[in-house]
Amino acid sequence: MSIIALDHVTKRFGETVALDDFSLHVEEGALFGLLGPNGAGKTTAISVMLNLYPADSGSIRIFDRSMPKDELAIKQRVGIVPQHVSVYDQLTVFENIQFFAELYGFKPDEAKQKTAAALDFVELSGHQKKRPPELSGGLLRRLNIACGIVHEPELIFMDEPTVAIDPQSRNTILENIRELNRRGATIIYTSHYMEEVELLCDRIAIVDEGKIIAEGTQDELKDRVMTLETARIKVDAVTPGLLARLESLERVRKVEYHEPFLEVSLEKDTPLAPLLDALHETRTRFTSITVDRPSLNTVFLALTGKTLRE
Amino acid sequence: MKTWTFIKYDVKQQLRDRSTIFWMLLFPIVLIFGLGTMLSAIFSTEFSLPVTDVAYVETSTEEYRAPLESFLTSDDLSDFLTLRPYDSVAEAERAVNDGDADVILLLDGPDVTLLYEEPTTVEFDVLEAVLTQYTAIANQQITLAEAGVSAPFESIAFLDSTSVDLSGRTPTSLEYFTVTISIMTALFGAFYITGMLNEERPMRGSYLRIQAAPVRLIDYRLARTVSRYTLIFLQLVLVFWFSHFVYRSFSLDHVRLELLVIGWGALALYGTAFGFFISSLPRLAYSTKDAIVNGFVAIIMILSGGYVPGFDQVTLHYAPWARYVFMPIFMRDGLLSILLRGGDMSLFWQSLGWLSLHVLVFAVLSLLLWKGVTRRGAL
Repeated sequence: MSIIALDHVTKRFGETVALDDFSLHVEEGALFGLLGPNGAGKTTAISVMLNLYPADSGSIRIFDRSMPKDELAIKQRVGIVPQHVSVYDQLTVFENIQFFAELYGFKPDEAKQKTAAALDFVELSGHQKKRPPELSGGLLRRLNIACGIVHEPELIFMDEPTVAIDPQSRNTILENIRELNRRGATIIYTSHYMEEVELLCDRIAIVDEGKIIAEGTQDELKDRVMTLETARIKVDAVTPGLLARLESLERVRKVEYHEPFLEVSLEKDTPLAPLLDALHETRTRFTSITVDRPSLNTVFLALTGKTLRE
Repeated sequence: MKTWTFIKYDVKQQLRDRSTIFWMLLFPIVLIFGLGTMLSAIFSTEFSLPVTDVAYVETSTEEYRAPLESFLTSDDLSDFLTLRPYDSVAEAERAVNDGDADVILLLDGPDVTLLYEEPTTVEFDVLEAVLTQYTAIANQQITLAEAGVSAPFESIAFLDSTSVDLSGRTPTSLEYFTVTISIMTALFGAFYITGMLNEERPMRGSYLRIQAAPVRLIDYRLARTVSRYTLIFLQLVLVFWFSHFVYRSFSLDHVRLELLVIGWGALALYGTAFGFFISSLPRLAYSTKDAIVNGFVAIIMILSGGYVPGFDQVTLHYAPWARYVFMPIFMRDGLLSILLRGGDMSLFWQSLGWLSLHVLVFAVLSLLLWKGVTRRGAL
């Protein structure tokens, strides 16, 4: 069942078309990535889904209910972790989280229990009496997440939650996200870090200039743009007849030697066994063999002619 | 329920914000304390009244003149009264105009009359009370002397706070200032509204989470307005408490508390209405709107004598219509009338009438502007 169904949504800001005939369907329980460069329309897409900006045209259904008609009912079941840390400096860590718990309808006592659980989840319990200005960037990001998940939402929008933090905090946050998904939450994760999206998401939509230009699993996306793979073999030396032997193999398109690497262009999904047999037959000593698979950046480059960080 | 949540956490944040605490709670107290220190001597029994030069004109007979002059030159009074005889009222007036005398005391037959300029400060209030006592005692002495009855003069304390009759008198600078502070505080409502809307820019700061939460915007705005005015109310209570208990400038026995609360409520409504009016002006950045509110409050307070007591008289001299346009002018009169014994209640109701009219105009203009702006899609 689609938990999110956007059809032909358009959003303009003056002359700028932020979302252009944007359609997106996300299944319940997915960890779905919206990948695209800065300014591609990822945040606007989230904003329109939550009616933070009203859409100019198109249909938005979340939990099979219509937005904005059922706005409050939908928002009750949704959590958001914004790109910028959005908390109150004059409230303590605990009070910030409790405030948002109460805002989603929990009574103060219940809100305190939920807050304690959220603090444990993001490993911030030791900092609960501090105020946000006393926290480091990584701890602030964790507080940002705790405020967004304290009411245990079924659908969570995470808008670049790992921007500008240290690797350790990033790993903690990524693990938190996986755990939330394991517990049943559907997560929409936006980022321009392709490594994170590759690591986390089971389905990905690539967004550029307000449009979804491709959508699918990682393999599906890579299949769309890649026809060749490159096997890189580190060899001690090239024995006579090796290059000719490799070129004669079925599905091998090209062989080049750039000392100490032998680069063999193969058709996609070509088995490596014949390659290894050829090395054995020609008594070629090798120390490593790797196959360069396409990255999402390669996919993006192939689809748009530019890289994700441009 | 959610409205209460907003109020609870917003008040908590405001009370923890040092700048809010300073400007809202400490600054007015510091101002009143400073002004009060300057004027407090007036209310102190240890205060020595400056020597007052009395231009004395007598056209009477010996039987009236002798006891009065004996009384006025007694040791009790000579410390702060200097009697300067003049031949005529015209000469005495010239002396007053030249600064040689402060008041004119006229003895005409059995009648003793005190002539002086319209009082504007508490010093004159006190002086009036003292001299009124003089004349009362003098009259008594004259009457006794006229009847041929011998009665010794008994020294009495002429200076104490109770000897100053508060009824129907001109407000002191301290009272004037305290009431002005309360009016100014109400105007801060306008700051709050524009400030609040300034924070409501979509996708910015903590407001983003509020937008994303299952909360109606009207509940949020209502709650924030209530929470901000809770602080304003706290400030008003503090200002009036301080003014009363420290300086005794208002007698609580005579304050119509229910009318005072109505007045504050009306002022809060005015601040809200004005804030909404400014924030609904189209095609202006919120920073510009903030600047307009700041400028408006500063100008209105200057022209209304809020910063420079008495400047309102200058304004009214050149623009008599300002009495009905500048809220601090008509509301100050209205509020003072319920704070001072014998105040004219009709003045209070009249000021509330003008205030209501202003609120109505701002509300209608805001509504029209909102509709216009929304229709053009500028929001």
